[in-house]
Amino acid sequence: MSAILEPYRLFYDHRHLLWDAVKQTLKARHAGSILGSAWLVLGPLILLSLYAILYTLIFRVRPVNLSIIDYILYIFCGLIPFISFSQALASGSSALSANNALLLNRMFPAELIPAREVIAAGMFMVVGGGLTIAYKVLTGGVTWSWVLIPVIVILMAMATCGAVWGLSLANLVLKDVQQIVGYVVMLILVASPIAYTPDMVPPNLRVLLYLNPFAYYVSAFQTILVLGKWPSPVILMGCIAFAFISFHGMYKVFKLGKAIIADHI
Amino acid sequence: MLTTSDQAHQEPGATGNVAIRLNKVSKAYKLYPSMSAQFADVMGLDRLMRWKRAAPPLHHALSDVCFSIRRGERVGVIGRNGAGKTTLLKLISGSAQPTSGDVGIQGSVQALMQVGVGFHPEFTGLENIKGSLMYSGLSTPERAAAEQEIIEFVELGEYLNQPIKTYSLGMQSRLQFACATAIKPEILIVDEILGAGDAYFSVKSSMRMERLTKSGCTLLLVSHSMAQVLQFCERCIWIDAGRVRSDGGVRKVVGEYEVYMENMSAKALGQSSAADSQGASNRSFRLGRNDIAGEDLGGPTPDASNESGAPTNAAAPPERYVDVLESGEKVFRWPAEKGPKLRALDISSGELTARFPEGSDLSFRVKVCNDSGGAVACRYQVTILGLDNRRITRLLSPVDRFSGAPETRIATLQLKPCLLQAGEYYVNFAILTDTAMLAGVPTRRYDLVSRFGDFEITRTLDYRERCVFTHPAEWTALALDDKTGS
Repeated sequence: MSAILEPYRLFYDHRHLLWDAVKQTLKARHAGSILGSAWLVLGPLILLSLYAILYTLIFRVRPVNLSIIDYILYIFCGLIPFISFSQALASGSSALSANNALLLNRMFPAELIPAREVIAAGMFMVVGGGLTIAYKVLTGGVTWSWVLIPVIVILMAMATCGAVWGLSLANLVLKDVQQIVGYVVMLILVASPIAYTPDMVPPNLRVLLYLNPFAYYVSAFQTILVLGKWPSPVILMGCIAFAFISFHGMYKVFKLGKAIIADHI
Repeated sequence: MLTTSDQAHQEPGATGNVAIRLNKVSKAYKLYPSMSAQFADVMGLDRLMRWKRAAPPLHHALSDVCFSIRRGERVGVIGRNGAGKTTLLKLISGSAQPTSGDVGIQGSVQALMQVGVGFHPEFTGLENIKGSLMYSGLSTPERAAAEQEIIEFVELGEYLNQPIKTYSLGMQSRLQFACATAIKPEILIVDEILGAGDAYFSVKSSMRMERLTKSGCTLLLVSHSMAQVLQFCERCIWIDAGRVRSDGGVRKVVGEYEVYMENMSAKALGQSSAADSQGASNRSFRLGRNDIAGEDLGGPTPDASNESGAPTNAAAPPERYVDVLESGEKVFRWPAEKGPKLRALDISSGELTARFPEGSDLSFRVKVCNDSGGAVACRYQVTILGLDNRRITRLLSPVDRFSGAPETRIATLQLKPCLLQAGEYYVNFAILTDTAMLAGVPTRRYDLVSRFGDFEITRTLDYRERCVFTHPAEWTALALDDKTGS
């Protein structure tokens, strides 16, 4: 039992340190710019506005059963988590190799270095998601299913964290990982129902969506926010299963792999 | 935080006091032919293609290392490049795992192996201090205090509000040093003491390191500077080719290591130019021994036999060896010409030996025996050194003559009074030819014994910062009186 709780205890014991480290990472990202941390809000705002304009004025494709506004919301529900996810994979996979000084210094548990990147990348989701939710609140569309939003966010963070643990470790011995990650992220973008709905996919290709872990989280967000419904049990089970398998499995791998970290930096 | 404890191998009674215990620790690195082979091995894929390649060759960085370090002990780790020192530190800091054997650590380990952790060039000095302290393991109130203390230490004033990319290299390293050392470790691991900046700051940094290392933590210091090891450590471990070659009191081990290094450099120089061996080994002497024997101990002959006509032989370089004085004290004696030798040194002040209050009259009684030297004219030389390996004073006697018959003499050197201020000191003693240190005449020696005769001067006044010595001086104070002229 305590072995299962171990990763949670690690996060809980170091929550202040982790939070400070996330703040530091975010601050470093915008250091030297005039607007500084304002970019944290400004960035998502600009990006999402651009996408909204792109899809409403230029592409003008939308599923028949969705209004323009709903379609934009639908895209945001996929796009916002995707941006966070891809950011986490990109910065997380190089986290260990880029922070070897921190690894040697020992005061910061190695597990938390990739986790720090995941949480920092999650800030986009917090802000972007916050804006989306704020819009929904203002236009009146709050439903009970919203209680699942934080749960899905945490599950997705766990799944991402597990993936990043594995990738960052692999990247220590095989620098090609960083390159591969870029293309895998592209693939995930294509194979996720972000700009299209699952029923737009030919039935014989639809199985691809089910093989894509990321699609489950996107689908959950879309169902909750756009349709205001509870996600289907299959989707929920997928979210939970991927989160726990990835988080616990990779935590174990990381713990074993930590022994070899020092030999490879 | 690493709090492994492997009690199974500890002798009873020693448990509570031991901070670091290594039991038959070995570490081997695999040397891979390529990155993909490394990846395959790490991922366990090599088992799938065993038929394809042989196991990668191993590099044994450490083999069968055993030692334990008590809580609060300050230990230097010395050895040549690639001897396995850094691997040892990595094992103890827990960032690497031993291949076999076990590492037992009691307490939190902090490693000072790199400066600038958490630094970002776009941040201001202040922001960087805060950011870097985050990784220092201090609690929040401790961090606030440390921040204030760093601000005072670095003396950067207004610059602290500028991004550090605008700093000079010296200013940056000052800040990084101060941040890296703002820690309160139980076990401190230092890979080469970091200096920072100009002369003023290097003194300040050195004092800061000293305060850190003497804060009661267990210290493990890797350094190539013997002076630093002597200054900061009481015990020393010499690692050679992955094994503990020597372990013991810092002066003993440093001495052995220096002898070894001199032999190494003498050999290297001997090989490089056999024809120029005379000049080369002379040079090696200057290079290798400036720390201990250097020209000031009489520019001792590169090789005693050399001066007496024998050819310089690179295979038999000068070697310091352990000898025992009459008192039983083990000392290092250097090769020298036949002649009078030191038998005993006795430092006293009245009833006192070894510890003297400032301003005592000290007498150094040297027992010198000329068994086989023939008629000799010589001068004695006592050099007093501080624990930081700095020569404080050199005292050369007038010429003394031995008739040639076997004879034992007591020479006495009196310091009336001894001007040294409080501190620990030790002595190098040499017997030199009568022409010692005359310009243009090569100095030869009959005897050289180094680093022994420890004594301590205790303070009589309650000052905080000690000076080297009390200069004889006269104060006068006169009232300013306008009628003094008349």
